[in-house]
Amino acid sequence: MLIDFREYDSTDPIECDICIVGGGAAGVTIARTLAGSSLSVVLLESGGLDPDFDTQMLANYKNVGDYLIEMCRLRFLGGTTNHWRGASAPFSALDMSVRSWVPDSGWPIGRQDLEPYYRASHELLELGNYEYGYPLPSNEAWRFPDYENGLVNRLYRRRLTPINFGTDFREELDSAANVRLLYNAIVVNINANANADSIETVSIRTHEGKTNQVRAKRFVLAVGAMETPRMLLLSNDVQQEGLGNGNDMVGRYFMMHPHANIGTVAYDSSEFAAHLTRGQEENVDLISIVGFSELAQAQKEVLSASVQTVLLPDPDSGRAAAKRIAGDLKKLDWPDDFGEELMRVLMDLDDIAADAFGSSSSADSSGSARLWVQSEQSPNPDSRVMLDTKTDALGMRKTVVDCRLHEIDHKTIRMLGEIYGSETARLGLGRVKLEDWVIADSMSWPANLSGGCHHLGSARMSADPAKGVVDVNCQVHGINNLHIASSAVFPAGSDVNPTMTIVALSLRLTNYLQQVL
Amino acid sequence: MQRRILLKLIWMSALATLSTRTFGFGIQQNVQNDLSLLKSIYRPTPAMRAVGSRYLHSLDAQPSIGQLLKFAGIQDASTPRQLISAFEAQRKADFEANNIAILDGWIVARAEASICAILSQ
Repeated sequence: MLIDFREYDSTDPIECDICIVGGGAAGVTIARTLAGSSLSVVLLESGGLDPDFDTQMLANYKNVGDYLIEMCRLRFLGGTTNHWRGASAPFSALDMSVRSWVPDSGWPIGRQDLEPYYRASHELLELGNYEYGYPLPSNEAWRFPDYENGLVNRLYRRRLTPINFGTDFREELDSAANVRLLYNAIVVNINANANADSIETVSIRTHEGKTNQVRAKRFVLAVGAMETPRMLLLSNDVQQEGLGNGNDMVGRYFMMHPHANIGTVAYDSSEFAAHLTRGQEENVDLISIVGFSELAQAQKEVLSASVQTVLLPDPDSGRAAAKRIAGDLKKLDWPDDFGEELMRVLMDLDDIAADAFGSSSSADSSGSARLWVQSEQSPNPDSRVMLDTKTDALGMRKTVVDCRLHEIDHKTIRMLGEIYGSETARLGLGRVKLEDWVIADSMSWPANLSGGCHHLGSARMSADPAKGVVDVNCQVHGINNLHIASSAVFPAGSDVNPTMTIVALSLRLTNYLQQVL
Repeated sequence: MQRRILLKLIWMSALATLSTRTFGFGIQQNVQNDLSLLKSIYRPTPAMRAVGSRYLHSLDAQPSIGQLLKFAGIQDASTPRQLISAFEAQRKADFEANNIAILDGWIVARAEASICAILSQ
């Protein structure tokens, strides 16, 4: 059942078994999985069924870190899946392992623990065959050069029309008798008991001032890696340092995926040009990337990273011009009240930047291409989401994002560029020119370094309460009925797009909640 | 301009072969110390000289011509064909061994950088 909270008549507290905060990929996944079960579910969405300016502005924040952080979190039903590009792949076993050369790496659960949920996530996202290795058993004709020296070919899968959790599952949620989806219901506080070891209610309100409370046996925060720490830190009326923050871990280890153009390849090989073409399985694009093997990561002591070749756009094209304009806009220190028009431009960035994950359906055997890297960021306790002194329209303190990169982040990208260039030359495929910032002796980043809208960490999973915010069941340490479902719990972020893993973790959490309730 | 450097590097073996065929070089003498002969084969451009200069500038100690010829794998070549063949083998071996230099952003084999360095003198 869908309910606009602005038109909700009763002032009685809303009761349920499970209250989910956030109607994005994680929240909708949990709600629809519980649809038809014996559990009563309330799903709270701060926005409406369509975007609105006032709610979107609640996500505004201050950026003081190493990235140019895009305004990409969307606050209406479906969340950021309203404009994601759909590129999906699972983490590798190494991504989730403790790596001696990566401080604070390692998940408290293994890759094998996620495997059944990855398969279910893959199916939910409608990504065709469950094949991410290379070569593809079902498409051996789609061949790439035999890179060596630690490089391997990998794949992303992307549904031609990526699943939109706001529109594709809306009817399903509406017809579920045990699920109430309250939209335009903004959570303003999480109310703990006197010992701060259990959550009793969450307080909700509309922009117009209508308020209420939702009481539940279990609460799930599914609001992403920037809003999760904000809500925990803001809910400090009982635990003054913020809920779950007894060890000062909330907001720390915030990560993204460094995305940048690292150079150009002048190629002269039809074999190489295969990289620039999409493989296709019915409604699914297959995108080729080249990354470090697990062995190479260990030997070279680098992070997970990959490079994709993208045909150089015509510099005079409208798209290139739009991108230049957007780049200029993004350098601005946004005023709090920046207009709807600007927001629209920013929301359209994904389309403008489609090249980043857009391969061509055909490519000449010679030409030039951009080298687009997407890399893991090393976990760093000083890379943080904090509370600002400024407040939003509802009087809630905004966030300050200070996402900091390390030497190993730069080393990884430089080494990938060098080996990729060397291998491309060795195989006689073409020649590579790297950007100055890549080959700089000391750590250097381009002014327009993007995080790819992949916000990770900030409420990391750890078996040890002193080293994380949630346990292996995504339950906040020390609070017996509060869970977190989002990329906020990632202790390490791999280099692959996070949505498939977010959905897998959400399915795993749902399974746990069904067992304990 | 940068791409020209690379294209020059990529194709210089072919150019050398072409030069030999076109002009009928009957090279008998050992090329090891014959700088003018090397230049007649590889026809240095300002861009290649620039790459060579950058390479020399990046080294702690300035190598001799003999050392550079050795880096390029052509110290024992006595004919243009041998030189080209030896250079190609060294170039490939350098990439196999990740024995590369990054000059002005371009990734080149040390053999290639060495040839450019010789031609820059």
